[in-house]
Amino acid sequence: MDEGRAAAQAAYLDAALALAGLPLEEELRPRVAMHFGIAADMAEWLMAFPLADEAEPAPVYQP
Amino acid sequence: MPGTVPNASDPVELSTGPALAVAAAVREGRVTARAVLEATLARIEAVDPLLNAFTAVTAGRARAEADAIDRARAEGKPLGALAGVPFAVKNLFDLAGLRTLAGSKINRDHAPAKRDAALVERLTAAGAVCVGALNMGEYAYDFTGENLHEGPSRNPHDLEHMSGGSSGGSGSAVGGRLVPLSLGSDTNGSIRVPSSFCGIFGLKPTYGRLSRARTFPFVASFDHLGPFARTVADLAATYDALIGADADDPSLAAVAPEPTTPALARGGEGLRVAVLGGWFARQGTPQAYDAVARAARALGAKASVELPEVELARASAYLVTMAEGAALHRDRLRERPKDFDPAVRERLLAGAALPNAWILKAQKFRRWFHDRALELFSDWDVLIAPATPVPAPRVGQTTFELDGREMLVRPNIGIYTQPISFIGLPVVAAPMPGGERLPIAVQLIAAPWREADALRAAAVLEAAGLAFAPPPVV
Repeated sequence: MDEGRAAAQAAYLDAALALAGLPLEEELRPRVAMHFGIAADMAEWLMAFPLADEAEPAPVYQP
Repeated sequence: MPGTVPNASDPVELSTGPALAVAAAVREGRVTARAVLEATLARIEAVDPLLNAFTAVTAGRARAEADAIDRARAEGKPLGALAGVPFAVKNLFDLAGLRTLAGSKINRDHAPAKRDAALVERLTAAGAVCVGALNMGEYAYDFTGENLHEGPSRNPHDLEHMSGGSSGGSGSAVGGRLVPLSLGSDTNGSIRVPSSFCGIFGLKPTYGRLSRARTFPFVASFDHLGPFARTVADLAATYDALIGADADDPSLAAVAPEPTTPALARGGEGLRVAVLGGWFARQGTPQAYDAVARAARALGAKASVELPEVELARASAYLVTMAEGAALHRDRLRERPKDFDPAVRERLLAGAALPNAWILKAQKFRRWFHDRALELFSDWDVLIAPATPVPAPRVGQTTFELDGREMLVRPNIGIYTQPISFIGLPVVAAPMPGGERLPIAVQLIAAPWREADALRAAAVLEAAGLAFAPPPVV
């Protein structure tokens, strides 16, 4: 991963967890960042997959 | 080789035999439910210290249930299909009077459950006898069967190896012949992985098929409950006892269920079977592909077919799992961070930060992938795939080699199961021992609501002597 992307992810992760009030010790931070990085890589392929605006999400609430 | 028929008058032999043999012997009065139970409790006491499958043994409750069965028989009352059959459940199922741990330390502080989970009530209504709660990965976010708080449940074929997760105790207890039946849950593979590692049959039904009432959740979008057994007939009979409407579970589908046992007699006649290629034909070990090839030959598989974009299906399931799991545990992550297993907490924390657009896209992709799968099922009834890429790794092992690449064990055990549960297809995991010390299973995947097709395919493999639960070393 390029350094800019890694730094952006780390900054985003810190901000998101701080906003949610979720504590993260320094020693666990690299592991959480690694898992976030795996998810971000997966999301990059997924977001690039073309779906129509009208595509329905799978779980549909049935009243 | 497949198990021999136990002596119907010997409770000790019966207690390690098939569930339906126990029920028949109890119904015929050749043995009492109480005698089978005592043999079961004695074996649990002797063997469970090695397997660590149980987190609670409910001997008092079980004795009362077994005695009630024996009384009912003495009074000439009709007995259920599972009369006198001992079973145990993953400890995310509520058992009245016990704390529902869901594999965690945190839930030890919860109040005891007031009422049994719906599926436990169904099994006891069928005459089965509940002997306890089973070890599992913390909050079901696990493929290993390891648990920081309780210790790992262990593989009944080699105690140094994993049971598979997250329903590790459910796999270990049935594979180790402590009970003939157990219940577990499967969000991304947690029934099929322990089935593969422990060498037993497992059924992950269609999403929305079985009631989840009074169980501890993980990922509402993907959570399924289902049974484990050592024979196909036992698995089908248990599933048949579990089906039915339940007003307590709003996620239950409004599709009428059908019992599957009558369908088993039809064998494989008319079943159109194919092997899943592409993603499912990469990264596995020769043992995994040998099991698929043997199953394909026995079932007369006519073709190798592909689901498109499986890697994205797996990625989508991965992302939704992280996000929904994190949302479920948000307050606990804030208030009890040190009481989590760090290996679970680090993934939940990452999940708490996932942008919403990723999750919504994953849910839209889920519909797209589901539609592609249905297209395949217009030509085929059962699709065969490996259940796991490898047999059970060693307890504590963190990496393994897939296709020559060093990979993390925890996230990659489920590479073949995760894309299938993502769209809620029914699957039977069928153990296919091939002479190696540790077994491995195949997935027999059917169209939505067609559990009977997957069970029929498993019955064909069982009748051919290919699919069976090998004897444990304990």
